[in-house]
Amino acid sequence: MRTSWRLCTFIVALGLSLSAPPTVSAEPSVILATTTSTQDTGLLDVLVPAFEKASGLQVKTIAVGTGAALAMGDRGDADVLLVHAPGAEEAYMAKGRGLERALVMHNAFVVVGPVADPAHVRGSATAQVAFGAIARAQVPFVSRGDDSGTNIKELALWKAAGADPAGPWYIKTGSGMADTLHVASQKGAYALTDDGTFLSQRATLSLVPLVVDAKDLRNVYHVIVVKPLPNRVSNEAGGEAFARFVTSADGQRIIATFGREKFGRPLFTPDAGKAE
Amino acid sequence: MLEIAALSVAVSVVATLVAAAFAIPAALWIVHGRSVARSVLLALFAGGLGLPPVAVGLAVAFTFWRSGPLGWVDLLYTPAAMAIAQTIIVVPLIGTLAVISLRTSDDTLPMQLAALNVPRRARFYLIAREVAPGFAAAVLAGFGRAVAEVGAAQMTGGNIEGQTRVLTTATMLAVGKGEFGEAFSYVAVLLGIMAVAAGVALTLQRRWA
Amino acid sequence: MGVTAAGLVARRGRFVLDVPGFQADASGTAVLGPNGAGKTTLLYALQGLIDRAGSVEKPARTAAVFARPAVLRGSALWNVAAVAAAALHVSSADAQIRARSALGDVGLGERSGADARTLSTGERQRLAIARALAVEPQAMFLDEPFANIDADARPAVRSLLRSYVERTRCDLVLVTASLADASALCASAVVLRQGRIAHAGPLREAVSARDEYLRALVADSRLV
Repeated sequence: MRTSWRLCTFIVALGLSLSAPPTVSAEPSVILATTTSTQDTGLLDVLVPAFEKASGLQVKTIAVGTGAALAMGDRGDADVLLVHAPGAEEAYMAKGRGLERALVMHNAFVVVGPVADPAHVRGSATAQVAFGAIARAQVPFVSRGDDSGTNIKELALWKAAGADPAGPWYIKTGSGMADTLHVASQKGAYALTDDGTFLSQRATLSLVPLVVDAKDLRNVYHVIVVKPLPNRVSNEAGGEAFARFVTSADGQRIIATFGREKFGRPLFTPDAGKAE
Repeated sequence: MLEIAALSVAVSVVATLVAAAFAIPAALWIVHGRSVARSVLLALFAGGLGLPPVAVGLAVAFTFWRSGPLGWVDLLYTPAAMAIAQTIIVVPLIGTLAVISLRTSDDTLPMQLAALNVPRRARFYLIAREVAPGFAAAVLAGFGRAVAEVGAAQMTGGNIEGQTRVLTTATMLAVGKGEFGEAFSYVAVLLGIMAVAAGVALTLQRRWA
Repeated sequence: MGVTAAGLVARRGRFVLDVPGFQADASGTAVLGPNGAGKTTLLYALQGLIDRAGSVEKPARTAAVFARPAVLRGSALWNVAAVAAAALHVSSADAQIRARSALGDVGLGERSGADARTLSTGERQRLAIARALAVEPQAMFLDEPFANIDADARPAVRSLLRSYVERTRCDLVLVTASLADASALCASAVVLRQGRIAHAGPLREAVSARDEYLRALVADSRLV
């Protein structure tokens, strides 16, 4: 019996030491809470390593969706947020949970749907109009239903169109953007998506873009430095450094060129310093 | 790919060994006598078998979030946190299988050897030799469960590239991005690892049975 | 040296064994009695394998054959050799020689390479006897050791034990349900009933004994 307890302690020590290298520095790492769309497009796979190299800090990127990211900031479980739901972000800042908030980039949302377009939304002037038509026609629409930035935008559009999406035609997947698009594709339904994800999935989908470039389809990303809570592990300096990096010339250049090789055109437009 | 596969194996091996270090002595204790405490522990093991891994992942994440009770340890989103979750998930499995293995072996053996004047150390060695195959099977089953786990691994590790990305979470991410080819390759490697574990189990079985 | 017990009390679950005095030596003591009388418990208590009250004196080196002998994973030879090596502190080469000899004596010479778990019940019991003899005990505690051995093989095994006992003056306690076995190896008999001694005395007086169980045994052995 005694030998097994000794062995036990040894193994636990071995196990903990396995994780030591990343946390051996005195500074805690920087926790970046962000959206699944920034991760799924692959932008973070370029942006974050560039920041780590320039700053020497280690970043833990947790991609959960805007709603969850803001909740993490609320709890002090993250140091910096990169999200895209301006309404929710403003409420967050009003609560005093953010030290600074800066515009980073934008791309566009797109209303996609089946080629047949049963609700006749193709070429609508605004997404609001299209949503109204879909709700009246009660044709299938697939929503992410996961409190992500895209989902928040979608719900705002329904509200603006005066519609309450409920019923068998309104499907909630609770999944990421790519998964949701595949569901919509399978069911021949409409969906709201960011154009970056749509571009990257297009080859495997039967959906086509129906409403593009409308005023209310702008998808704007901000970076928020979280205000640390007292008596908690945090890395405020690291969070600020990340916010500065993504709005700096270097960071903006990465954003401006990302996607060109793979998709023929960049997926995001850098906006740092511009008026909201 | 190599980094991801190596991390999968490393985390699960550590988790399985730690779990075994607790579960096997516990099983020996449970079988050794009769008491309320022993029955309770056995019930916990058997019940723990049905514990959903995501529940464990959530509980561990909840504990180690910066806002959680053990947040000051700064352990979340590290391989250690993933190992902790996997250990909790695997302990009931190894414990229950070890108890079953002990109960089906001859329990008069220790007395019989003592009655033949076999000294303590030799008794321990001979009995250990008898139960080793059953324990090995239990441990390998535990490893299989640990390495295939995805929900808890995602919640406690965060699937961070280069730090906590393992085969299961990498698969989910690839599917989420629509990159099915990549997803299949992760799954293939995972199946390969499980095949190796099964192969080891089979070889040991044949050598010992 | 002899096996002597005084004030022996032991518990196994609800069952209580209460034996104020017990004795055995090289002349052999048979322990008889109906099922559940406590014979096995007495054997365990004498060997100190279960908690007991009272005092027991016995030689340092003892051996036992249990009613359903436990075997180890491995060949019959290995089973005997491993135990002999450990109990006698001899090299494994030496132990193997002893094991081979013991297995030959019980008639398992040809089966010494077979996996012990594949042996028949009778072969297992012979294995257990070989194993017990191989540790060169000064006292032996046997629990129905011949029960599953074929009738035609029994006499040989019995005489093997008897010659060992005579040669080494080894104390012998034998639990059995067969008068034939008892009379071949033992001079005295003890009858247990419900954990207590119901009768004790020389075996040859069993024929005229008052004890019911003993009379039944005697009658049974005369049926032929």
